[in-house]
Formats: sequence, structure tokens, C-alpha cells
Amino acid sequence: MKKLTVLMLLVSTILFGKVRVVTSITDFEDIAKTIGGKRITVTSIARGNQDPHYVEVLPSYMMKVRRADVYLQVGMELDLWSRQIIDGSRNNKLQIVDCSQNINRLEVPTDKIDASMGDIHSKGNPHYWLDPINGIIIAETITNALIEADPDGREYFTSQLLKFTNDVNQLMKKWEVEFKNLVGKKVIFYHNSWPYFSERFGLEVVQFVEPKPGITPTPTHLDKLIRIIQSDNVKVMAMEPYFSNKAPDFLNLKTGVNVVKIAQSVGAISGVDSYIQMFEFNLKALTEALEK
Amino acid sequence: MKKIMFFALLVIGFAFSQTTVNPDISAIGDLIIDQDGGISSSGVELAIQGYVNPFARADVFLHKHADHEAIHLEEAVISLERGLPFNLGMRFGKFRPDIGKINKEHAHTLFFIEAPKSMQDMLGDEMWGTLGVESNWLLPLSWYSKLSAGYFTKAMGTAHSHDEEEDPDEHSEETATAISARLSHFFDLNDVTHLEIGSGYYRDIENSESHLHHVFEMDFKFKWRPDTYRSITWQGEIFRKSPIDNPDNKSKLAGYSWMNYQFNKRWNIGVITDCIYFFNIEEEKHQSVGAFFGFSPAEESSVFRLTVSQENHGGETNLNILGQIIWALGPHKPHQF
Repeated sequence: MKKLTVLMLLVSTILFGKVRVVTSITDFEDIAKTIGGKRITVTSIARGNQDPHYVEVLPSYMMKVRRADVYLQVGMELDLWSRQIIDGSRNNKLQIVDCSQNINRLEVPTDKIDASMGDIHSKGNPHYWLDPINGIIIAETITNALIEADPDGREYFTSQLLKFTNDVNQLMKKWEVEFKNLVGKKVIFYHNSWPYFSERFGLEVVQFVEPKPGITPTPTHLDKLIRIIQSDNVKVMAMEPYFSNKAPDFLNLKTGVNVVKIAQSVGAISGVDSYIQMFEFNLKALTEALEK
Repeated sequence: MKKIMFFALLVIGFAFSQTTVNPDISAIGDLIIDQDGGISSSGVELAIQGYVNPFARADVFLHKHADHEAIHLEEAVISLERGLPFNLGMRFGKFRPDIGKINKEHAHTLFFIEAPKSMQDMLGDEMWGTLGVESNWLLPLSWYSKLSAGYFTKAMGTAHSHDEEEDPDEHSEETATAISARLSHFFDLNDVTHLEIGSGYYRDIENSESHLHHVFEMDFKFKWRPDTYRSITWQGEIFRKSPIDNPDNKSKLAGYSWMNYQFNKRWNIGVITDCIYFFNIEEEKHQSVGAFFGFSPAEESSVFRLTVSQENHGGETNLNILGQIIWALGPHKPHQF
């Protein structure tokens, strides 16, 4: 009988003793996994190959959040859909954490914005996780949330944060040397998801395939891009894998610009299975495309 | 109408008085062109939406149909989503009760221009919206399963009037009461394939203008969505309405089914079939088949729709072609999520 009780306690600790975390995107899922280790279970709502602006609210997502302890939001109006999921979950005890809270935000509008500017976010560009140094800030926010949910794990979470911070800082030094050729290189991106990434690695963003955020390219805009690519000698056009190839292929045909698909999130491209791998993949892909 | 508008203002006042943050305000309008070149509009919908507090939100929808018609209050509802015990939720105010699938969907979120005739016949020309209270419970199961039940002050299937003089909402408040319930389940068949099934029951308690009826319904929605911009959706529902207090009244069966293929970010195409069948009255039978397509050039803030349908009503056949342009201002847009 004693053995059975001990076994049941062990099983219940394994099954129910962990902090249950749900994240909006796979990048936060991976960072949370690194910080939380075996003390947490974590799952993401959006898949890595999905456009995080448009996630259909499914009742099964509400079920994921229903028993969660912590929800990690992107914030800055990117994952507005997460509110509907959280509401539908009926989870009153959920700790909702906006991971953008300590980020140094880029492209925050200073003037009145409206829909004529496309899909502009009033709180700034929300793709902040695409800078590895912001990854450290996100990890700090996640650590604080996990400590609140599981105070006994403070020591473990803090040591994992320290390890993650050291890893990222060391990799940054390595990447700055290895990919120094990217500095000052002109790139056209499909969507304006990359200001944090470009600023960190010194890329010069010349234009976007979308004439305005979220707006499908028009023939006039493509014509303008052809002229820019030719006059500025732009070698690379980078895009998220979920966008249509039609306009990039057209630009490649007309100008010879190298089109490269890069990962905007963990899991966006096969083989990109971690937050760190995402940067390594993207930096290598851009370097190769520039050297072609 | 004055009473309804007062009620809407009361809901808005109650909902937003506790916060200094403005609610979301949106407007949706349209233009409809038929095969004879006739131009019309289903009017403009004004939506005011926001959180009342961390646990409840308020949604108010006002609809202005045409210049000479009064502003119609479509919905003014407070929804308690989080905060109630035992996974309970609650809605109260004027809203569309949880019965079937299409009753809760506003026309501009449909892939086609008008709700199927079968549903207009069963639920009302603008679906069934009524004053009432509804609670719902998330069942403690491993999949999403919701049971909802409500008490309402307007009978299902009552036609809307857009006349200034006559307001069926006010009228029916005094004359009809009804109850309804629905049980729905949602299953993830895999990461990209989902199935929702539901069944519901409605019953008139009193109705001074009509005989009492009860209604059974069954509905389903299947969706395969391999990526953000490609999906196949198949939805259908069937209602059976039967008399309670008058055996001479015939039962009727009404249902529709549509399938939509979204093949890229901007384009979709689909087919729809619709049927109303009166038991023992063959000449009253209504059937239609049709096709529709849609194009949304920019972020769902403008949508073009075309519907072609062949209708057969009591032996008479008609071909209908309708085109629609929808525009949206603000966060409430003509899409389903």
C-alpha cells in the first residue's frame, strides 16, 4: 500500500507538479523550454510555419490554455488573437505575460496612424524576438514569470537564465566575426519583420516586396522594385516561407536577385529546431545568397 | 425603437464607464449589384466592442439599413468569459443565441452574400437575435465540449421590420418567450484538420402571435488548413421545426451545406446547396444550388464577392447573380476570426 502511495505521489508530481506554459509563438516556447527545463511543460499556439499575424482561433487552443499556469504573449498588437483564446479558456488563474514589456521598441509611430499605412502596429514593430540580444530580455521576462508560478524553482530558473545569457553572448561574438560580411549589405525583405535583425547584424534594408505592411505587391510596386534592385545593385531578397513565391520569382526573373527563404520563427523551415539554430540558419542563408 | 436605443446606451454606459480606455469602434458597409443592374445595400453596421473589466467584454452592433429606415439594434451584449466558477460563461442582453452554426455569424463574415434561405426561413431574415440570458459550460472533457442554454424573449424565425413605425423587437418582448440549448464538440483530427459537431434544441414557451413550435438542429464544420492561406472548409446544418400545440400545422425541414476552397491569401471559391422541405406539402418545397467566389485585395478591409445560384421554389426556377463589395473601417472585419 505504501509503495502504491509513493508511486501515485511520484506520478502526480511528474504529471501535475510542473508549471504549464503556453506561448503564442514557437520562439518563446523554445526559450521557455531552455529556462524551465524539466520543471515545466510548454506548448505553442502558432506553428513555426504560420504567419503569426493571422492565427485562426480554434476551441482546441482554448483547451491548451484551460489548464495552463502561464501564457506568454508577443504583445505589441501582433497576437491579438491570443485574447480570444485566453477568454475562451475560462482560466481565471492564468498569469498572462507580455514578453515585449522590457524591449527597446523600434519603429514606434510618432504620428497618428490609420489603415492607409497598411498593417501598422501602434506600439512599434512587434518582431522583436529576431534580435538575439532581445532573446535575453525575453528570457529574463520568462524567468520572472516562472519564478512567480513556481517559487521553489527560482534557483534552477536563474541558473538556466545565466547559462542562456552566456550562450547567446558568446554566440553573438562568434557571429559578429563569422558574418561580418553582412554589414552594410543591401537587402530587400518581403515583409517588414526584420528591423531588429537588420539593426543587430548591420544589414541595410532598401525596400519591401509588400508596398505597405500586409498589402500584396502591385505591378507598379514591382516595377519600382526592379528599378531599385538594378540601380542599387541589390543582390538578395529575403522572405518568410509562408508568403507566396509569385512576386519574388518575378523579381528574380527580371533582375536576377537571389531569393532566399529565412526563418522568422523556430520551426518555420525544416531543420530550424531552436532559437539559436534560427539565427545560424538565417545568417548562413543570407551570406550564401550574397556570395552567389 | 427608442426603448431599444436606450437599452443600447445603457449597455454601452455600463460597459465602458469603468475604464478610461476607448473601446474599438468599427463600421462595415457594402454595395450589392444584381443581374439586372440594380444597386442596393444591406446598410452599414456600427460595432462598439471592448473589455468592461478583466473578466467581461461588451459588444454592441447597430445596423442602419437604408435612408428611410430606423437604426436597428442588432446586438448589445455583455459576455462573462473568465471569472465565473466551474468553467461557466454567461451572456446577457440582446444577442444571437447559441443555436446552430450560422445564427452567430454576421452576414459580412460569410463567404457568400446572403444567409441561406433555409436559415432565413427558420431563424428569421436576419437570423435570430433576441433579448435574453444564456449560460454555457465547458465540459470537463479532454476535448473542447460546450453546453449552452438560454431563456429568450423573442421567438425564433420572427421577421425583422426596418420600419420606423413597427418594431418587432419591442412587440415580441411582450408576447413571446422561448428556451434553447446546444451541445457542441470540437476535435483536432490532426495539426491541420479540425471537426466541429453540434446539436441543439429550441422550444417556444409562449407566443401570442403564432402557434408554439419546437426545433431540433444538427450542425457540423470540417476544416483542413495546411497553411495560413490555404484551406478547405465544409459546413452544414439541418433544422426540423414541428408544432407543439397544433397538430394541423405541418413540420418542416430546412438545411444547407457549403464548401469553400481558399487557395491563396486573397482568393476563395466555393459551392452551396440549400433546401426547405414542408412535410406533405410538395409544392412548397424550396431548393437552390449555387457557386460563390471572393477576393480580398487588402487585409480583409475590402472584399468582393460574387454569388450565382439557381433557385427552385414550388416548381418555379430562377437564376440569381449577385455581386457585393464590402468595406470595413476599424478592427471588426469581414472575416471569421
